[in-house]
Amino acid sequence: MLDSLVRIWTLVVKDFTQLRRDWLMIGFVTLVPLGELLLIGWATSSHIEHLPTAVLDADRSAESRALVTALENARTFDISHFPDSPTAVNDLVDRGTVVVGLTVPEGFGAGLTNPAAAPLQIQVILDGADPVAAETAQRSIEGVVATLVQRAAARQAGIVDRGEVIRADVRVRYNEDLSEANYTIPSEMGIMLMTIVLMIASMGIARERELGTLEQIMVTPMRPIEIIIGKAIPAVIVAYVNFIGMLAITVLVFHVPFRGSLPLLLAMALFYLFVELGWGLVVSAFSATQQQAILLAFLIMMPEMIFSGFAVPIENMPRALELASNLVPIKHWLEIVRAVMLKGVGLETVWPNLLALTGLGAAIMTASVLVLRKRLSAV
Amino acid sequence: MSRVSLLRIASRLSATALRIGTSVKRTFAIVRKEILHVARNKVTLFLAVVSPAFMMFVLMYSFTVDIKEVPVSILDNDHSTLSQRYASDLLSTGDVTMPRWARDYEHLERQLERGEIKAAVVIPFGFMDDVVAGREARVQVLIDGTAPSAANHATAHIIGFTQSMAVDVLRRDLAQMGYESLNIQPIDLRIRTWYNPTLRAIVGYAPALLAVVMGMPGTMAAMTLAREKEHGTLEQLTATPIGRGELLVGKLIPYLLSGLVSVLLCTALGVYWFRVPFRGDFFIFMLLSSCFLLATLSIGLLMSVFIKTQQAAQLLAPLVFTIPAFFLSGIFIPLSSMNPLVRTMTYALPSTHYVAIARQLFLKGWGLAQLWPYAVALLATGLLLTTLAIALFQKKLT
Repeated sequence: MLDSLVRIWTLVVKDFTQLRRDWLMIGFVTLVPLGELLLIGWATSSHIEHLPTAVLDADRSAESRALVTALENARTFDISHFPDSPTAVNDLVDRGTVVVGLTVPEGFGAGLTNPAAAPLQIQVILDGADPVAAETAQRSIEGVVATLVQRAAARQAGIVDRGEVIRADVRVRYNEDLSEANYTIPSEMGIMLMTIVLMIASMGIARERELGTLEQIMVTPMRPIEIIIGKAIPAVIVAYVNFIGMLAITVLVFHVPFRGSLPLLLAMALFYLFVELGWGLVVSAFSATQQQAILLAFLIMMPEMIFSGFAVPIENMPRALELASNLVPIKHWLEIVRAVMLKGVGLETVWPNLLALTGLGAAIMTASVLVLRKRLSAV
Repeated sequence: MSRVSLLRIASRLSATALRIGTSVKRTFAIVRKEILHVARNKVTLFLAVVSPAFMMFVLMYSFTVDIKEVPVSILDNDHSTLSQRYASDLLSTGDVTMPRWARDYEHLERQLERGEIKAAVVIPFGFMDDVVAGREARVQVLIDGTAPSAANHATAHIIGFTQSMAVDVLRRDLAQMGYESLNIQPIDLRIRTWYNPTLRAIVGYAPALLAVVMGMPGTMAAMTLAREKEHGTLEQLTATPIGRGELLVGKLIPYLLSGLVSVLLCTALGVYWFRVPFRGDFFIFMLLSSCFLLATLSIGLLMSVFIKTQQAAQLLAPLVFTIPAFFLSGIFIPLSSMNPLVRTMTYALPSTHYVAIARQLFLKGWGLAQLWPYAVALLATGLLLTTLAIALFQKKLT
């Protein structure tokens, strides 16, 4: 047992020596992910706002002006253009200068409180090539118009003082100001950790195999399982150091609240990294060259990026994908991170995710070790 | 001008032509070698050409989303006819479902904590009395803010529903007060979404995601010199008459070609399987894709000059190609919403330009007349970085 540990330790030292000789590599491994998290976190923590907007107010009444002001206050829009004809509005959208073109027709203000008038129309053109912008704009405009109608109705009924008829008192829990950063930055952190572990772990053995040095290691007293463990440890250490740096950035720079227990999260991170490590070893087992390893690793990376929920919430995915997401460690990890950091809950709530991670880890590790062992003895 | 000097010029020209000819020949020898290397191993060939299409499939499939119902919980402390109507009407809108009634406030909070529900509505005692008496009635809405976009969606829905119910109540009030009906015209909000009328998310995302998966050839390019260095074959190559420039250009061309095949596969997948419209010109798209590939491949080559091991290349490649392309190129966050400094930086990424190109060409049918600035930016990046890579490579080897 002790011998075995010593042998594993030798391999770890060897791998770190190789890493150290390549000073560029050390810089990459530690600084690039941290710098990138800063940049990406900064870029993606903004709300969807300042969408370039063109408004054609053909009515020029108090009501239409109120509408335009309400839009301006919504902050979703940057009213940058005031075209003078419908064709000009179309042109601006067509050229991609604005993503929202809104037209208030003549007679809007007068018609609002006159039941005999023709039906009122507000025309909105959205640039559907950018679905995020289009959807956000649509929701925001609908909200502004609904408020306008309710106000006009209340004013007419002379019940201004009464306040709203029914007021929905919205209280947001866990992320009170609905900061995007609180959601996206843990996603990004998870993705980058996954990338680091996957990339280091997947190449370790493929590299030795490609360079022919695997045979040299095989003739030493090292047993296959020791080689696997020895190759796995550097990946986990590098990723764990990165994890601590990224966590510090997340909390100190981006002010994502940390309400739960830090030791709990630090312990959970190990589980997550071990499962990702298992995937890296699977890649290692199946690739003959490093080129193949990277291609395979990318194939695993993609689903993980998807199931980070950054782009699409998992609940909105097709049923098959929603089920498949349970096989992807990042999904469970992010549920744990969000629960511990934002909700401040502990094991009593996140145990199903922990159980899933453990199960996944055990299955993937066993499979990869079995395959690797066979392939290693066949060298 | 004398005949002699004419002859001299002619001979010099032919010598140059010959030199270019042999240079091209040598470059293609490298191209052939690299293609052979990738094609010899069927697994590598398959992975290199088909993996972007596979990634594209998984990515696009996840965007065939339907906004499903938001799970909510309702706690009715009023038990009045109006509160019951509020609850049942809210549920009948179809956008929300209720897995379970909440027994009490604590139960509700626990449901929210465990993530069983995303929103909760509490109708307080006295709700109906307030409405009847003409006082402001309140309902409390609790939202799980951990996922802001879902939270916004739920909030907008519940507030919208409450407002329309409020207008109904107003109408009834006014009718009781003797007014026939409220003299308020409903506003017909005519929202038209151009280029993507049903606002299917996938239509907008599929072209843009090409920029993410096409980081693959760049990754391969980043590894290629490292592989020669690791195997010690780079010294052998430099001992041949092949120049450094020829070597690098020869390494670039195969990945440009395999990249174009992958673009073709991905586009076919998007258009024929996911029914994404393709309104532009196919050849222009391939031309612009070549510009993009040239730019990313030149980044890969530049990395490759410095990197000693394939492992380093592999570790760095996703951080250089895939992750920035995914997060920073305007696919999910419109560039106009980004901080101006970050926005400027994103324009340094080839993927930002390619996202713009692919979206406008696929959906708006734009051609070179509108897209040329992107093409120029990509070409300039590609040529500049390739030249830089060659210059630095030359220096490193001597």
